[in-house]
Amino acid sequence: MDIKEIKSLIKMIMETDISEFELENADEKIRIKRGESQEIVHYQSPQQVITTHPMATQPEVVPAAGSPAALVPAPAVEKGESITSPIVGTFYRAPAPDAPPYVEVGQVVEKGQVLCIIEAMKLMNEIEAEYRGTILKICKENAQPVEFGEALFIVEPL
Amino acid sequence: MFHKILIANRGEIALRIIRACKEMGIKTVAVYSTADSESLHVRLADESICIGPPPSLQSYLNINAIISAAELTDAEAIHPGYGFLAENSAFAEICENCGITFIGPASEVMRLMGDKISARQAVTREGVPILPGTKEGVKDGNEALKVARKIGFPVIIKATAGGGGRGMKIVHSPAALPNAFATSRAEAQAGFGNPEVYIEKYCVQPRHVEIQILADKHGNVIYLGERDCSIQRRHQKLIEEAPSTVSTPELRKAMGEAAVRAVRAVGYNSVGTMEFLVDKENNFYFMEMNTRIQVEHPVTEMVTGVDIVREQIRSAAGLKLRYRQSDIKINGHAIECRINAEDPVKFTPSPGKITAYHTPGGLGVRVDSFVYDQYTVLPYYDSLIAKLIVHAETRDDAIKRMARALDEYIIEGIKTTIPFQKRVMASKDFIEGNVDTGFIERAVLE
Repeated sequence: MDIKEIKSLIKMIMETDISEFELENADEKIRIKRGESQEIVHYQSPQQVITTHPMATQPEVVPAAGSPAALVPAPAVEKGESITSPIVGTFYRAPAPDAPPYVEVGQVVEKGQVLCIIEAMKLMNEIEAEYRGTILKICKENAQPVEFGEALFIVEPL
Repeated sequence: MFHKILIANRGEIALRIIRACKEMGIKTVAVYSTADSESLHVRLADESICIGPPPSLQSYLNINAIISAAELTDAEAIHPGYGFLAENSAFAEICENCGITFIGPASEVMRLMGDKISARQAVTREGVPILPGTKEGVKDGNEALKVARKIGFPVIIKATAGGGGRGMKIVHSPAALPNAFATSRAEAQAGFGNPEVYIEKYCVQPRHVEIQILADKHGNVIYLGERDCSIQRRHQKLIEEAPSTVSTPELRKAMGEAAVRAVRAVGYNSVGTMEFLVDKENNFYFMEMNTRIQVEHPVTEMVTGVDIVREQIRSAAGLKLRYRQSDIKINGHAIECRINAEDPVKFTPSPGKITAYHTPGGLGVRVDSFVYDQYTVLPYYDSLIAKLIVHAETRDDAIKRMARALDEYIIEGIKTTIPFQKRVMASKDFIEGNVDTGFIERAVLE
């Protein structure tokens, strides 16, 4: 299927009230799903899988199989694992207001190393790393409230 | 008045409290376990904080997490609902120490009235009748036998720290007593961590009639009539009504005034319920006091027109009661069915996804529920999913209305107690008002 064919297929579907459409043959498979204000188009060929999630009501068109990645932005796939808060409280990056933060992005942390403090009911709870890894992202800002299960750090295990 | 209240509960009572707060212009904070993230109380509150994983001990009973959540959101008061931490005096005390208003009685009053032995002593001082029985825990087998002979068999041995119908043994003869006494102590230790037991006269086929009281922080106390909760299975209420079929204006006044006297004497404030046993001669005996809002409060709301949760919040905020005793009138009759996610014959829990849901409506029908179509009933918490309440001019009309409403109620995908409650509404005994606490056992055996 080339781009023109895909475009006219989408146009045709938009003119009906079809909400989901799938077409498969020996070489290709295309699935078009309409959900409220979003169109999701999945196009799969033996070589590549391309997914787009356009925001507006207009459908975006997927390039044909084999072309290099001139893609519309796909959601970034997050690497690493998240470290979540085991309690409800306030997140602090450092042991004291004028002290340096426990960790920075890019830093390698060892198992048992303190990553941050969560203050709950006047008690400072140290949150430790459960394994060796690299800090990819710090998800909360200093002095922000956190709830149970909320992501604090994204860490790539080493 | 409070600017913001945190609701330390879930399910239908959390929704009930949020509704009252919304109507009063008070902002609401919901707390929830990870299992409840799609729950209605979370969606309808202004703010919500996840406080833990599904098990209650780590979430809805997690005092640190709840107080933390209140501090993070600047909530000035916490409403504990019923169950969970509602009658936990340590929690009430921690709130007091943290400068957060606990919507309920003061911690030391809760402690006094929550302990069955000290409560019995406190009410006796005010001339409230109690079942003949021991005023303190019974120390040993010899004393137990002496006491039981004095009271007169049959007697019931109860754990001081027990509740919810657990830790109770009926003894019909002196020969059976020593063994029953020893076993009760062992069971009480195992079940509640406290082996202390006391002995009371056992009322055969008693009615469970309770008085709703409302008190402010200025010494004003009134009663809002009675409820009859005699339809119980293993001491768990399934159907409640107001007024009671045994009630007369004189009995209501006597019980109500006794409750008010006792409650005023201990310095109680907020809402509470005094439970009585009523025997065949209409003698009433104090059983225990529940120092919280109760599941069945809607039947009292329907017959008196008083919004009990709103008045509870107003009282906690230090406002005086708006009603005098003479303002309270009982109009018509109300019945409530507790719809549990349980098998209607075996009463085993039936969690799962509700695949079709449609509530009844029409004149005099009220549904207090937090479930909705496609909602998944969780296995972690109690099985109450809805309360169906009807109000009508007479008891007969209320029964017909409840039967009609139960017929209209559609809950598919899980089992519920609705078929059982329909049978009760059609039963001759219920219609004639022959309800005592043995009702369900007899019905189930038929």
